[in-house]
Amino acid sequence: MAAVTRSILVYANCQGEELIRTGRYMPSLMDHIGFKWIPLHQVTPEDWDTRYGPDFMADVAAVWEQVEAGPPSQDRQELHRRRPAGCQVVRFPPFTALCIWPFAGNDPRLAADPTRYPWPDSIAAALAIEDLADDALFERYMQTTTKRMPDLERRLRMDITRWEAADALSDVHVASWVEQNFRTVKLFHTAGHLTAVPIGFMLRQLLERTSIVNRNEQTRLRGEIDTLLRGHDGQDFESVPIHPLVAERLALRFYDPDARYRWHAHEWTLREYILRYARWAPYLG
Amino acid sequence: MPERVEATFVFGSLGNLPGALIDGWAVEDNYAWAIGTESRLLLPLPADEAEYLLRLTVQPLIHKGERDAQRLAVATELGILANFSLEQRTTIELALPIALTRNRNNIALILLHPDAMRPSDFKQIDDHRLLSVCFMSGTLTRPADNARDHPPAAACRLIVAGGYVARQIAEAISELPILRQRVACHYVNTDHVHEVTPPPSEVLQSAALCWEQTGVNHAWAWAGIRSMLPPGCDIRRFAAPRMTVLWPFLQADPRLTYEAGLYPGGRYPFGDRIAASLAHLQLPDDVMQLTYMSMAETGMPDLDALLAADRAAWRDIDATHDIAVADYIGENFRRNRLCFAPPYPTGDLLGHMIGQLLGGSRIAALCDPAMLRQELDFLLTGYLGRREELPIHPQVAQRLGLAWWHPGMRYRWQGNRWTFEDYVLRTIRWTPWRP
Repeated sequence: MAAVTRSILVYANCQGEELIRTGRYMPSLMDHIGFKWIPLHQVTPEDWDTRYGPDFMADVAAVWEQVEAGPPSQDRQELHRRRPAGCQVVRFPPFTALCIWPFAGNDPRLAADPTRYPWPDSIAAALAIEDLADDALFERYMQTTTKRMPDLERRLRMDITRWEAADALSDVHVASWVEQNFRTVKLFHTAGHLTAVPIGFMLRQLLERTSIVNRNEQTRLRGEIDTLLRGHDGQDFESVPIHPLVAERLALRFYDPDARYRWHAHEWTLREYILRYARWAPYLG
Repeated sequence: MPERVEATFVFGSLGNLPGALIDGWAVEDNYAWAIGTESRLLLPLPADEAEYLLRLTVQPLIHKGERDAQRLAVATELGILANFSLEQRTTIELALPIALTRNRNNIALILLHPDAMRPSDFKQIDDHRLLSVCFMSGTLTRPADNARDHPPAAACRLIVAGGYVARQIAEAISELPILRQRVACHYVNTDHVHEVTPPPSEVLQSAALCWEQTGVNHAWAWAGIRSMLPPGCDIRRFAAPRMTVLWPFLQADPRLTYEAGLYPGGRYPFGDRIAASLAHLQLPDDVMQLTYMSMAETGMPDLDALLAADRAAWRDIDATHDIAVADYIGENFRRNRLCFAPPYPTGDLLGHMIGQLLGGSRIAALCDPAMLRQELDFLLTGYLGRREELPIHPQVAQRLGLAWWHPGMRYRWQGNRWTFEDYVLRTIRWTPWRP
């Protein structure tokens, strides 16, 4: 393997990790371009001191910078101070979809145990202490969620507004692509975790805009992305099931009522997931 | 002090406190803002004699430099209960006065929050509400009833030693709620490629049970560790049964090498002799697949003979170990999926093995066996193992009459889900894949 002399630095949430994990397995880039990631949601002042110094930045030829709403955080300002002079910056938006999981609210159990079921469900949380048999518990959940289902069209409009706002800060635009595709293809495992489809879409867009990537290679690179991601499940380690009424109201054509959703070392139906979530049941990792 | 959750509270219109937010609230779907300078909360209670602790998860409205904290005082008819200065999302605790909770259905809390702000005053948004603290969720807990909530502290130490399957077993035992306070389970990886990290000597010397997986290449250190087990330790030996009849073309591929940083376990570690023999051909996908299928049909081994060999191996395990697997696999493998790949059991087979190890053991005597079995089945529902599922040739599935198999079935390979045809083509071409 030849020495990699130039790197693309991805400054992004966990979606950035998916970009670099895919990029690192692309045969045409493997020996030429390295990928680095600074997780914007986890980076600490100590990381800047110990991990992301001049040595880390020395070979960075391009930065793929995921945008955020609001004024630049201290970490983002630190990134801007440290990136090598003259390196290309390509800004891209995060993918999010809050409307698909309308009961993602709060669960008091997260205060003491934040990682067991980190995608809260307000209705299931409220059922947590009910002493009900499986069928009765799930029936109660379905009744309550059906009764309290919020206005999903409004939720979708709010999502679209967010997507468009992030696009306005970015060189890569996704709002219209997500709006056109989210009903026909599953794009999200959770509100912020992606299937392989948007990962591939974003990676193609970013590579096309990155000047250190040879323009004549783009067709080959697209083929390699397709090969790596065809059949890939993306960030599915925690895939939160979709409520059938959400699928109906949002007209999600990809929805399968019998779908099984991965949760760490398991694959559960909506019913199996809700029973375990409500009971805060242990699972295998 | 051990405690038990008596109620969970979720604020917001989707939550479970619809009648509790009396005055001074702006209720949104998933939370409720305390607005103005005072809000009132009528919190439901169980109407019994217990003392209660209330925890509330709250988020203050902060504007750095101008309002770095929100003050919050919680009062009752008896006076101020507690004062807080909230700088970030946090969970506050309030011991509710027994005089106001004993045999009552609810308690009236007065929330005083003098630092409310209008978001429109410091942000370009059209929100003129006077917001202070956002209430998200909460719990009402009481001291635990020892007999009901806390069984006696770990009465039994279990060592599970071996490779991957032993680790799966140890993880399952450790996660069973019914055993949580009763059994302390320690896994020892004895695989020869790993350095063996023994459990602390006091654990070893007081172990009541040891489940030892055979058939792995035990590191030399394991023998020394094993000798430290006390004389009364109940040692049970088990082996991970292999199933080879489902994959008759298994053969190590000469292209399999260690690819540092990319495929620690090998790119396609199981190998397929027909795929390997086609590797040098440059053919279109459909022609390549047809060629593979044709060669597989011609070269299909005698599946009855392979199954007989597997049965003999399982019976051998039964004869030399402390658990029986032969009859179970033989009777069930057509009806239920029992192996993801030759050495990797599914949740079904793993559950059977754990059940066998538990049967008649000191652990089974510590709890209700029916409840234990129920929890084990619940835990193993939908178990995917290490997500390395070796695809099965359609002809093999059909000839063996595998009821759980279907055409077009997709198999997990780490982050991927491939059909048999996808997998074969990728193996022939040694195509890179993304974990």
